[in-house]
Amino acid sequence: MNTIFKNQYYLILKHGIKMELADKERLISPILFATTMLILFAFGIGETSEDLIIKIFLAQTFLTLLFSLQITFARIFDPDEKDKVFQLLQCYPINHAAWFLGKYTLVILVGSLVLVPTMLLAGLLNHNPKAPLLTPEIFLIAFLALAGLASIGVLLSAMTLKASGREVLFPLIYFPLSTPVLLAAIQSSQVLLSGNNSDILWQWVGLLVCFDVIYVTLGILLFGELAGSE
Amino acid sequence: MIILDKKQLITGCIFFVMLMLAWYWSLFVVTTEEHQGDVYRIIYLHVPSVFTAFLSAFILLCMSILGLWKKSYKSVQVGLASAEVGLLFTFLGLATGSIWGKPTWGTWWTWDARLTTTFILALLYCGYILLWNSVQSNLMRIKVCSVLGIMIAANIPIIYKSVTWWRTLHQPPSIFRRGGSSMSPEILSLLLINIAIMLAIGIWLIIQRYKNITLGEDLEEESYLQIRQQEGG
Amino acid sequence: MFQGNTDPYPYIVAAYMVGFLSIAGYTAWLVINRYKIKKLLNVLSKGIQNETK
Repeated sequence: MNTIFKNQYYLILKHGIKMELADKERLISPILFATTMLILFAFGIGETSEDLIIKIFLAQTFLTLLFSLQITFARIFDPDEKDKVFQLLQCYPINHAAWFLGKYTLVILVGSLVLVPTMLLAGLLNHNPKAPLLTPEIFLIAFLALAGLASIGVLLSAMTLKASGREVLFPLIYFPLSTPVLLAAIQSSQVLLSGNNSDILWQWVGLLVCFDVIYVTLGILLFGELAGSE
Repeated sequence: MIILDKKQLITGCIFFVMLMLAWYWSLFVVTTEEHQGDVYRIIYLHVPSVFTAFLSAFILLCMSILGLWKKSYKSVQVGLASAEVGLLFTFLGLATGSIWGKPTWGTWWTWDARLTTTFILALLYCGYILLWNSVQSNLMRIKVCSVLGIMIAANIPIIYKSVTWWRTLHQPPSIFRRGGSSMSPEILSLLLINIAIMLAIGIWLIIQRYKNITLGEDLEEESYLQIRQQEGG
Repeated sequence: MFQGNTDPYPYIVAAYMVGFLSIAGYTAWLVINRYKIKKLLNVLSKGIQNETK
């Protein structure tokens, strides 16, 4: 990695973190949204039998994550757009891969701040008498899912920046595109928690990693096209 | 005023007549399948529809790559046309699959992997069409729609890989088996004929839709020019 | 899983009706759309011709 690339990457990331810290509402609102969703899920589902607890825990955790991360992703370019940083960077001979990776790391960081409390809360609200629901492996799978979702998030956020009605458009494209990642994450977690065949677990984790690699590669390759000067 | 020129009209008519003949053959001439009985005749409509939906995705991918590479606006116009036709045939595939499922599986809809992924494809086509309409500038349309087109196409083969995994994990293959020996040559050849005709109709519809899009944009330009002329005069 | 006792004919008719209606409907919509656009283009070009006269 050459120095210019590194410097540009760190600058983009640093600026992004500063902007996120300056406006704490942006970080708190998805967490509050996630909490509300988890409570609603708990009310909606009510008492469940023991054999369904794993399925319900995974469904509500990953769906809550998907919805609340979507709020984070959709607004990731908002400060840049407001301060005209996006337009300035478009004119500046910046390395587009560094720009994408800077934003991508920022999204992972911010996403983790939503992901960890959501998972902890979901773990608290659900109790499995046979085995703990929150294991390091589950967190690892959730982070792998975040890695894939974040790449779609950054790309779509840049894509819908100039689109009218983007509040509706963003989730409409984001949800179908994120289905494979979500599917692989939920299935691998389910195999893991129910203590089934480890071969099957590796197949699902392999699929999840495969999607991550594809989406990040697509992100690096295509972001330049979206962010190039008009 | 000529709406469709002679060549388009004749090819369109030929394709539609061929489709009607193929359907007649599928419904009344070809022998009944042993296991499923007469209900299997729906596959002569269902399978070609799904094939045409995938052909549209392939055209969308080619046009998106071309759009990004050559920065050509024409290719995203063709992309929009193929997304629309793709949506039509995905809907048709879902609807006929669902109608076939009722007497076969006993239910209109089941969250089977292939049904779910096809449904996702329909949603992605909808997303593409909406995105195309909500971006105004031509250059942005080329960039944004081409990127989404590539993402949609990149998703299709991988979704299908996960389908096989899902099926082997959770349920035995329940969708009708088209595999070699179980299908008589008569049934297979008629199915291939139906697929070929439907693909031809799909391409014909994409061409017609593309022409409508370009004409529509010509109209917009012309009316804009006229308004400007009137304001100037 | 196959339920051989169901009468298949209504389903076959329904499937082919859906197929016919959606393809024919979309084609008809394309033709009507083309007709409307061409009509408007004609009106516009006539308007321009009149102005130049």
